[in-house]
Amino acid sequence: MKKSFFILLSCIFGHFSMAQKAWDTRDSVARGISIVVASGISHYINTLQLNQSKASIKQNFSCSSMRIMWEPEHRLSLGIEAGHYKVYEVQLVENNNINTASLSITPILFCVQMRIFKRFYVSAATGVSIHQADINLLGNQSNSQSWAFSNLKFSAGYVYPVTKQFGLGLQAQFLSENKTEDMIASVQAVARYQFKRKFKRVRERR
Amino acid sequence: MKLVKKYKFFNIFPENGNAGCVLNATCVKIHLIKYIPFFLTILLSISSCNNYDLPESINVKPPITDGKPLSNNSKTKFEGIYKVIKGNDVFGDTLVLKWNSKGNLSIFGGANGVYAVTKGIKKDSSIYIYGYWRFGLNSETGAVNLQLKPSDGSNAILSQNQTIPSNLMIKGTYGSGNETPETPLELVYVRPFSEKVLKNDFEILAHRSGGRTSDLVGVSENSLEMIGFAEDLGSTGVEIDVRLTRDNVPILYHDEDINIRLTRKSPLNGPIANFSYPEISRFIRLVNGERIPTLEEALNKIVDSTNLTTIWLDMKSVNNAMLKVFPIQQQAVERAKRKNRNIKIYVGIPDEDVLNFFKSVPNHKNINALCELTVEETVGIEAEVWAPRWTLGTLLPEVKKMQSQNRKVYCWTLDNEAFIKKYVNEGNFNGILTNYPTIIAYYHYLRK
Repeated sequence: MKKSFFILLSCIFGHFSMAQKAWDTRDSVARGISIVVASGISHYINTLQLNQSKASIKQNFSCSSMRIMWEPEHRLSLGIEAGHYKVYEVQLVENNNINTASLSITPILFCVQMRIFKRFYVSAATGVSIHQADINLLGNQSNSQSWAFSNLKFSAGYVYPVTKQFGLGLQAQFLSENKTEDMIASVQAVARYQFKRKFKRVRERR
Repeated sequence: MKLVKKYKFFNIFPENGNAGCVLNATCVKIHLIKYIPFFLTILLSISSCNNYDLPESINVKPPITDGKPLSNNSKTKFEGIYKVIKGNDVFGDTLVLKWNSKGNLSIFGGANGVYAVTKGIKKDSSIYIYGYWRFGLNSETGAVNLQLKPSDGSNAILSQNQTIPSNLMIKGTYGSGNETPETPLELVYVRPFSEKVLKNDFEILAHRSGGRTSDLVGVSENSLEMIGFAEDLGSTGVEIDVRLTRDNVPILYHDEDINIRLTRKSPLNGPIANFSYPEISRFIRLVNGERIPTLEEALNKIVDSTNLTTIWLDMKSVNNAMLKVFPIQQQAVERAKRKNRNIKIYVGIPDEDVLNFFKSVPNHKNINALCELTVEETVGIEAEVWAPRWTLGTLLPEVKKMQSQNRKVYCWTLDNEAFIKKYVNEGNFNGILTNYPTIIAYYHYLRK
């Protein structure tokens, strides 16, 4: 069983694998550092336990993120990602006053990214988050900040190389905050800039 | 593909040349089919993980429609110790029946901390007892219906006569979950409570105002509802956790952070001290839907609607919280005095930081305090109560010494059934703090 499974896996891997020479030169992975900036829409997967007759919730917000990746000459790349997501806003109507409570998070994550096909990648990230709760109660505003650990983010995306250094694409993300057990799904437009690696010419010594 | 088939073939059957193909096909099916019960068992166990019955979901209905309440004289007469004749599987060999100030009859047993919360009514010379039973140590629960017929001694209980018939017998049924109670339960009266028990000088102190949310009793810890429920669990006093909100309101809450262990998932996150009480009261509900109460509301509830006699304030916010708590403590004591109630409210001193702050408070020796530290520190601040951790043992010489100085000794937080039995019978504490007051009640009321 094991033997046949490995044979099957090798065949699948072999089928999709291709030598780097066959790629468009714009798709080369032999780069140094890349910066990816993304912006889009997030949706909160609602797990709040609210009294629905009195409270309403907004779940969709704009979001943005940025990551800096070190891309060595193989499929795997490492980096750091930060972003800002408004998770939800709860509105509670009381005597013509609208009281609101919202949660925003700023994750700072260690990111591992892997190219699956030549322009398609998946990534997983883990790290800390800063949680900010903003409250507007009877016209008085207040906020509370706290740190959250062991958060997870998974994403998959496609980046089309417009030039050798610049690419545009789309990515889908899933972010899970362990402390508050909140989950966000988001879709973002992606702009990537790769800093071209400068190879030093080595002169042959006579 | 051939390799795969051959591998499976050798796994199950010995090589058989001619019938190989047929056997191969069959053996693959058998190989999978034999695991179906295993997978089904896993799926069923996963799907039934949260499928427990909560006490509030039990369908408790009076067995008769026009029953009348029992007199206090009748109630007191059939309190006591009973032997279980039928129904030992759930209720063990002995049960304790005890009425509380809410008019409910609590039944305490020795098996898994089993208890029942019931009501009693009378009709046509018969007494009917109905309610639910539950294990203290797990979430198994069900309905219980009992009856005391004239032939089993109900006439004597309902009469003004003080004598208790020797043949007093309570018969009925109990069920599991929401099933109709059909399993027989029969109890025979053994004896009333002993003189030692009736002296009423032992405190059964319930942790977190009655019990923990995680024990799924159907009411959330540190809530007004749990305070109201504490007596049904046999408590004579409660320990409550006091924290300060951002606007300096003392509230009942155990943890530092707002979390889903104690609250329903709400839009507020982070330390509870970061939020004002108006924010907390509007946006946060405890796990079973209750509001987080202020200390003042909790003490008023205890004074006005319970018969609890001892309150232990566990100070979770240090220093300035105490200054907010002292006036509320004093107001509640005055309120109790006006209602002719003798309630003791102790400010807990759990560590050195709180102790040092307490010492800096002017006239601190006039404040009712409970010290969890050493005997010397307890004496130094003239605390009325010394509260050692239960793991230190029964501490008989120290307890005797403190009691000789007119101080009380409460040990905390004792949940182990074997140690509860040992400490109740061999220790000399004035009270025990526990998450399972029903177990302490059982062993306490059994004392001779």
